[in-house]
Amino acid sequence: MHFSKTVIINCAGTGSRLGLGVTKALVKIKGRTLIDWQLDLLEDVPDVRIVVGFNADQLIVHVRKRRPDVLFIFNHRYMDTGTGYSLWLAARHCTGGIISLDGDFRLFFALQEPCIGISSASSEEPLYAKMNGDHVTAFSFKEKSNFEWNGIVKTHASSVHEERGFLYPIIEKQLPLRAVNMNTCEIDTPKDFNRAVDWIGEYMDKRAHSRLGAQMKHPSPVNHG
Amino acid sequence: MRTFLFDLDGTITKKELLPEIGRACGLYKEIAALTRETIAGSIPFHESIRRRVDILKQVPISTVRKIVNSIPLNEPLLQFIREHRNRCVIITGNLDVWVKELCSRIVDRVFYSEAEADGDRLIGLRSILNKADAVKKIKGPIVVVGEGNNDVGMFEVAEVGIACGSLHEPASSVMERATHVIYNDATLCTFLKQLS
Repeated sequence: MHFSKTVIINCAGTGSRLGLGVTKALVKIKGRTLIDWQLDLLEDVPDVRIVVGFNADQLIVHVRKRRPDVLFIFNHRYMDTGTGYSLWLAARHCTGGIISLDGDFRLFFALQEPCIGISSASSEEPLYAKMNGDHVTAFSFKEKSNFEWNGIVKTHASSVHEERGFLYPIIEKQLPLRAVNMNTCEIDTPKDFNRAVDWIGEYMDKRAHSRLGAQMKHPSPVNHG
Repeated sequence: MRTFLFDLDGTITKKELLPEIGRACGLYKEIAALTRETIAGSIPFHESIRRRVDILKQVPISTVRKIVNSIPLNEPLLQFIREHRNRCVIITGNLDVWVKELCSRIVDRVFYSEAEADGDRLIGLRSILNKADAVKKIKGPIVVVGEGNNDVGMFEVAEVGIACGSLHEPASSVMERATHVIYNDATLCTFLKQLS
């Protein structure tokens, strides 16, 4: 099974549960928008597609400054449709494999099979992932598990059928799927947002420490002029 | 099988034609202002082309044609069209006497506005192309690539409507009806190949 490197990011929603009046992708954490944090991880991915709806103009202007090669897909019906519809809009003209981010997925590229991202259940309204070995076998909002689906999935474009509502019913039909455990942070509600600010802060601290460690091991050459 | 419809100005050409014609003939200011307002949709297309033709009547047709033939083209897009020539159509509001030579080098099927001419002299307009009507003559699913307000009629019936922003911002009326917007020529061609 061959997977092309098409990454689809759903950014059409109003972010109503978060209640900031701006689409989630433009919400800032530590001075940078969520879409900036995501694009950091996608620098080596040649085919990035972003589904836009609410605040489309602002989001397009923002993304183009950094990635003018992004293909934008309009979900003009963002008010009465969900992430499932957005993914369908993007997937229906793709060929081969797609990776859908509702939000370190290098392993996703490496695996030559459909797979699904899971994280430790920590968001305020998690969609729990029932596990059997290294596979997710079912989703549930009620039946608790240590893991939640983090909104990331790699599947075939042809497996995405038209769905007006959420994304998970589309993916649910494809279970069981191989699980990839990731360190991610879901943001749907104000409480999630506060948690994400701390989470990114910890990430930045760790990155700064590892850079410092690397510099101490391999000091920069001194310019003696 | 999908048919690919392309606007000419600012989509296949890397510059808007009429301002360039205006520039070469010392009429740039008047033409550029009209073109800007037309793309934005603040002047209806039929009125705009009437005014532009009135301004450019004084220029011999052969001179305009020469300028048109020297305009830089979107090479990656031309490559796609060459490879799918029998499925590609140009739909332009521009005048047949000015752009026919250029368009027929690129595709076999073209829709234009028609001019009335006397030899090398432009007299007036015989018909103004309504793109929404022209598109009805194409059978089967269509992919439209355009950016100006006069492309809206095509976007309304397209299966895939791609707003092309590689030269300038697509008109807001186009953005409201487009299924996609692309600002990069390579991305546009990759996507067209996927659709072909």
